[in-house]
Amino acid sequence: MLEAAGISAAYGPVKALAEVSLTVAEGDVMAVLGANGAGKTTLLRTLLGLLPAQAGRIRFRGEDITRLKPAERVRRGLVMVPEGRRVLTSLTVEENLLMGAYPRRDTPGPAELDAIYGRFPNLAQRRHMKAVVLSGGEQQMLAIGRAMMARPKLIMLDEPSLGLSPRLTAEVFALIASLNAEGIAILLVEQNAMLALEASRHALVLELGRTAFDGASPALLQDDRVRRAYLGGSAPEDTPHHTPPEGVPP
Amino acid sequence: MIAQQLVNGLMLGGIYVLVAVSFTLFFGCLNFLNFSVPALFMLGGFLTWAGVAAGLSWPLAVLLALTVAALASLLVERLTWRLQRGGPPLIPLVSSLGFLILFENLVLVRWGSDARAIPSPFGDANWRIGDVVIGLPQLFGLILSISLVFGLQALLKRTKLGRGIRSLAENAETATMLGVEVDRVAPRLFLLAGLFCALAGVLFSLSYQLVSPYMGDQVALKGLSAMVLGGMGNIWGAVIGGLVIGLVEIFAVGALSADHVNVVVFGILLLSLIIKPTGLFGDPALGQQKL
Repeated sequence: MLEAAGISAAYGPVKALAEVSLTVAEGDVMAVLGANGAGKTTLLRTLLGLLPAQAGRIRFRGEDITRLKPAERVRRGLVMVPEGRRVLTSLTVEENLLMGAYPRRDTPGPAELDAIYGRFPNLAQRRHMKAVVLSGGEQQMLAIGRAMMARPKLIMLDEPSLGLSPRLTAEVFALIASLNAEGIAILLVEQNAMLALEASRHALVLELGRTAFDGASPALLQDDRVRRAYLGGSAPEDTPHHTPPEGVPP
Repeated sequence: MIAQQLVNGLMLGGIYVLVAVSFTLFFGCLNFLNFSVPALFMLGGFLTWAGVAAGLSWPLAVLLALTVAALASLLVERLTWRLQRGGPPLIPLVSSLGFLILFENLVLVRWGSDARAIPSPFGDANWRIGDVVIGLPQLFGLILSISLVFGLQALLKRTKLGRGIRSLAENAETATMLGVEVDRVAPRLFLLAGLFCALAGVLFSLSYQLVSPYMGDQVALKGLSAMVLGGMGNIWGAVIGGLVIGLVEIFAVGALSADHVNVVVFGILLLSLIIKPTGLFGDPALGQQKL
């Protein structure tokens, strides 16, 4: 569904991503792991077109989207829920949801809004209030609801658990699982590696903008080096690994 | 006497309101201090005179003036804002200042620097309530400018374009991520804001019956001050700021003399900024909530 081949990106002279490749299959959940500054957010920004890919190709649902503007990519169903939710605080809850549908050519009907409100009763109660009044958890729900208004085929979520209590984090992950069950593919960037590996089928580990591992999540959960580096084993090693992972699924 | 000054001040303020709202749209949405605004104001007023002087009917002359000003605004969008926005933020500002001088001097080359008297199509129609004289063109101008602000508010609140503009105003990166294309929104915004200040120029020429190539400078300076006084980027702040500056100006003329107007107006502006640096309606806690 989403295939990136050898993409590189930079902020000015600073290389942030070097020849990263990934494939998210239809209905897949893929996690992207890595330390701060490893290039996880940069990867999502490049896939959405907020940052130009300096090298490599990106294909989405059989179409080359490498040069398309973000609006064109969103219109095709590639949608992002950014780190820190980024709800528009001066707009009402409902206006935020409508902004999710902005690139669509048709106008979203009341039934669509009602479907979102049915899922998030807290948002329904506050639909005409400015989004600034929402709690962190509610803002995350709004950011996901907003993404759903775009009729996504693949949602990229950047650190959805950031700043949320364990209970709310569990709620967000349950929501992600139910969206996936409805056929929406998920690309998940997450600091909490254990949580991400449990929620995903495949995972990609970035180190300093390069792919360090990729493979099936259960295999990575068992991998000693990954356990040491990201799952709170012994101290991380200095040298990046480029060893192919074990048990890559077809 | 006081009632008369109140009326005159509000009616002058109505002109400043449109100019201040124009500045506010550019600044609030695109973070662009557009110094071509005085030229657009002048094109609206001066070309109305030029049209009438060339024998056109009033409505046709106004339509022509507004069309030229709108095209000029779109030219500024293409050549300053769009072309130069990647670079340092001062570049589009300086470049828009260049357009101000260019447009003023093009008019100067064609028609000379003299101020021109423009006959009002309404004669000096007015309303008398007791001792107070209300000029009908001025009253019409005030009502029109306040209605336009309400119309603008409705556009920002109820339309898709309005939501896109407000999203860009709050956070351009987030708006882009959601699929708002600034290159599609910006020309419409330049058209809208350009028409606001060009229309102010038309109303000014109708009300005060005098135009010149430099007519925009003083008025736009007051409109800019009205925006700052109201709180940068807040539309209702611009409305209140415009009316306050109109009132202060007229009362200063009455109490002191015409020579004192700028001392009093800008003195009050500086004083109010010392007391409340964010302007009347600019709340630092709501720093991102523009428009």
